Amino acid sequence: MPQISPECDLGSLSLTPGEGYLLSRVDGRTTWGLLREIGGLAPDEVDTAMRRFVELGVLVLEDGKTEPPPSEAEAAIVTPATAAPTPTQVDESLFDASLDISLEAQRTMLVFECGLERPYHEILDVALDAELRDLRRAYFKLSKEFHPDRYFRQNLGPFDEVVQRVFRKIAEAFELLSDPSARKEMERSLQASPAATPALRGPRLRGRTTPHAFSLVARIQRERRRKARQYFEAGEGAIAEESWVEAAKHLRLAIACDPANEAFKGPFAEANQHANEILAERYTKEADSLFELGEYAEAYKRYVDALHCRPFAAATNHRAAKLAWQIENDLKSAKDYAARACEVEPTTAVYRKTLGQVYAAAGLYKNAEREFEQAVKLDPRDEEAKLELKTTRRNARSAPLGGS
Amino acid sequence: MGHVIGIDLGTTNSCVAIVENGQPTVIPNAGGYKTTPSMFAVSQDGKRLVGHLAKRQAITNCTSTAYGVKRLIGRRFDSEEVTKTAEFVPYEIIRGSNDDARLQLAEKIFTCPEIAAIILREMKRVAQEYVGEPVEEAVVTVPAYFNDTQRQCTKDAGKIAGLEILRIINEPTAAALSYGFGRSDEETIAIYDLGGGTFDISILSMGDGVVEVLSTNGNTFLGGEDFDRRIVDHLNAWFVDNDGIDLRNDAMAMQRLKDAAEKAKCDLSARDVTEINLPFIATDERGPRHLNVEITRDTLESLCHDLVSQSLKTCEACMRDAKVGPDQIDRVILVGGQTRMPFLQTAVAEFFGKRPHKGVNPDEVVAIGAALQAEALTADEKDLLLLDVTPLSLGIATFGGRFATLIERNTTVPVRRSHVFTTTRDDQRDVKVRVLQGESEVAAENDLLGEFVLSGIKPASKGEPEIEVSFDIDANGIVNVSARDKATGLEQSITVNAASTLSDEEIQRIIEENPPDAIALKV
Repeated sequence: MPQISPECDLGSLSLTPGEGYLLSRVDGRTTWGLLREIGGLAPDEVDTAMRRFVELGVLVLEDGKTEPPPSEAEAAIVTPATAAPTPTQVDESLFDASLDISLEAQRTMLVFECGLERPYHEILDVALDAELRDLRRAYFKLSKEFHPDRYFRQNLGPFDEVVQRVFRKIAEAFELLSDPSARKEMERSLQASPAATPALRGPRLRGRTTPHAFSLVARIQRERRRKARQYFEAGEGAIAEESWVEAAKHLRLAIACDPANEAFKGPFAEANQHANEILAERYTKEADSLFELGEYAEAYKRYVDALHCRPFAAATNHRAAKLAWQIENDLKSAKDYAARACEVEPTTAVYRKTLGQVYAAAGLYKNAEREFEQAVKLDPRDEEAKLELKTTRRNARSAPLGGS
Repeated sequence: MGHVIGIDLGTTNSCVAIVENGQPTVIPNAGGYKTTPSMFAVSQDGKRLVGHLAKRQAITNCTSTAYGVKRLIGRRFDSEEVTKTAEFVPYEIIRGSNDDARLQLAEKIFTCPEIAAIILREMKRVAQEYVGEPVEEAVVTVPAYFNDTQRQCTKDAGKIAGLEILRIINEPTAAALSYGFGRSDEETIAIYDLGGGTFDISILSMGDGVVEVLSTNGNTFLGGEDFDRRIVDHLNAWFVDNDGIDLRNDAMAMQRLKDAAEKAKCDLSARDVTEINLPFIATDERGPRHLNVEITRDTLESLCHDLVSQSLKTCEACMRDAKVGPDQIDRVILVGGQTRMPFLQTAVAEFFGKRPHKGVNPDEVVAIGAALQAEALTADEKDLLLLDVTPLSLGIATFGGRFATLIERNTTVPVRRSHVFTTTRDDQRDVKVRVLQGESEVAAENDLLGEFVLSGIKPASKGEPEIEVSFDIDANGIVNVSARDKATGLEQSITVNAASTLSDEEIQRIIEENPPDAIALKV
């Protein structure tokens, strides 16, 4: 179960809004698999972001694993059982973080709902021969959890019906167990055939329809597909208006609601590409003006945002590298950005020089020497690079163990 | 978030309460009274008066002063109750367009929900002045034995008054919530509620912040005003004997008698004898006549003892439904002004075998309970839960005019019950589902809540089709009925909206015709 590392200073992180949202869903009780469903990003994006969080030390996984569990939401649909199902049997893809009740409460409801086919005394969690007083205590306790009034005016989505059904069953269990004649009949049927649990469910006094766990699962999935459809339509509409950022957001949600639908993926890829271009432009512009104003730390964050949208912009990588090094003193990121800049534009001398400077600052003189050599070769008039090269060679000799 | 108030909309008096910082408080009106008379009047110069103001001028303007309207709300004009009421009220009751009972006050016709709305709006105003902010939501209480139509009319009244009624709860239940507030003991209690116009008895089980209604029963036509009327009749008979004048044809004299009877009744709760003195009550060829007579507590008891026994019979039925005996009831709580009568207290104590609890104020506890329920629904921290029941059985009319019950009275809500019915003729293509509420086995004697037709049944021999009828009551008490032909899957359903209530257009019209400032507000 992923949880946020207590040592981690969240304020120091540079995250996209999407990652920020994902991180805000991490509460130590939500599984990686569930985060894929509710994290607001596409499942593979969640995996990427989560791996990055783990790498950065933001998240710790209790069991020491760093890899996501295999995706098997579809296979985990619960089956009605006579025993109370364990939480792991509940299909987590049914959960919806946009509702007014916590995911934990949703889980509790679904778990209880799956157990409604058990004998009445098991539903109330009392002995078969429990006294009225104990029956009532159990009934009151469960009522406090499942009575619809507890959720008055809250948006429960499909869980509204779950709550109604659960409470009706609890009330029915109490009504029949507290009725001596109904109870006698139940006990008789138990003695007649101890294995036949259905008989324990009480006399069919009134023709009641039996809720079935499968129908609920199917219904919630239908509901999610319907939602996905709505998001998809909104996304299509936004594409028609060329509101790419909107479109990408809607389509991402559509995919999160119905990951199996291939029809969503093409339009999403297209919209996402446009959206990234637009956002990258916007972020870069903001970053540049912040940079002009001398707000270097803020500018750095914006450049990083821009790079999330357009990772291969050489100039942006270069600028981010410089800021990571000089303002944030984050040499690892600085190296990554500078290296990326060089990778994209291998013949730009100034990028080589910056990468060399970052290596030098990290004490990696061999690597720094290599980069400065390249820089001087590309731009022989750069006196600064020449000087750096000389210094680095001297340092490299006095620190022969450096380099990697 | 806005404030949510609790209103006890009584037959004779109304009361409003609110929960502040977890503590329930009764809000006094501008005159400092914690209850406000449920009275409304149109004065001779056309002014509209409500509350104490209306009560004060009732004697001189009795034909244009409405009181006890709760007895009429949601009832058909031809019903026995309306006929009975018409005999003793000075104002005129006329037939409305929906066969409902309406009031004619100074040439203008008012529906019952309209008058209830005027009183609700007054209570809302009292609350608004207290909290200093607009109040738009309320929990309102009704007698336990109010049927769906009466409850719906009360909701309409809320709409007219600009109040969203979050929930209608039963008066004895509200009293129980109020009693249970701050107690965690496991107890079974009986609430004996004899108010101005109605009698209710409820048996409840409580503990751990949960209040469960076991059963409830009552009589919407038994209340303190019946006691008053017995005294009025007694006084009038005495006057006929002594002065040979029947006062029943003189509305103003009757109003004076009524006021004097009520006062005498209250006096006799504290004293053994009281004097009634009404000078110039009538006049004849001998000149002005005065009514001056002493009345003793014994006389009052002999006039009213059958009313008390009637209430105890209802208590017996209620205990039968709850499957408890008097020895299993830990506490009896008296609610409603009429329970101040010593004779009544003794009779109740004898019946249950224990002295009634005196810790609650019978005039205020219902409003407080309503406020507590409002809080329990809307607050983030929920530490009180009410498990309420449906007060009357629900079912459908079947072949031969019988009534088939699907949900029995005193069933905890929310609830869903279904039953399979069939056809009575060969190749019958459609069935009519008539939704009824009541306790009679004869369909026609119960209240019709609504009806619909399920058509397109697959032709078959009679008795073969399987038509599943389902009743669904949600936590708000809203009834949904559906019928489904199992062979074709065809389904029809209705959300029950009681038959003789106002349409949305009518409510809108009333709201437009009654600007809030048209009513004189000062006490």
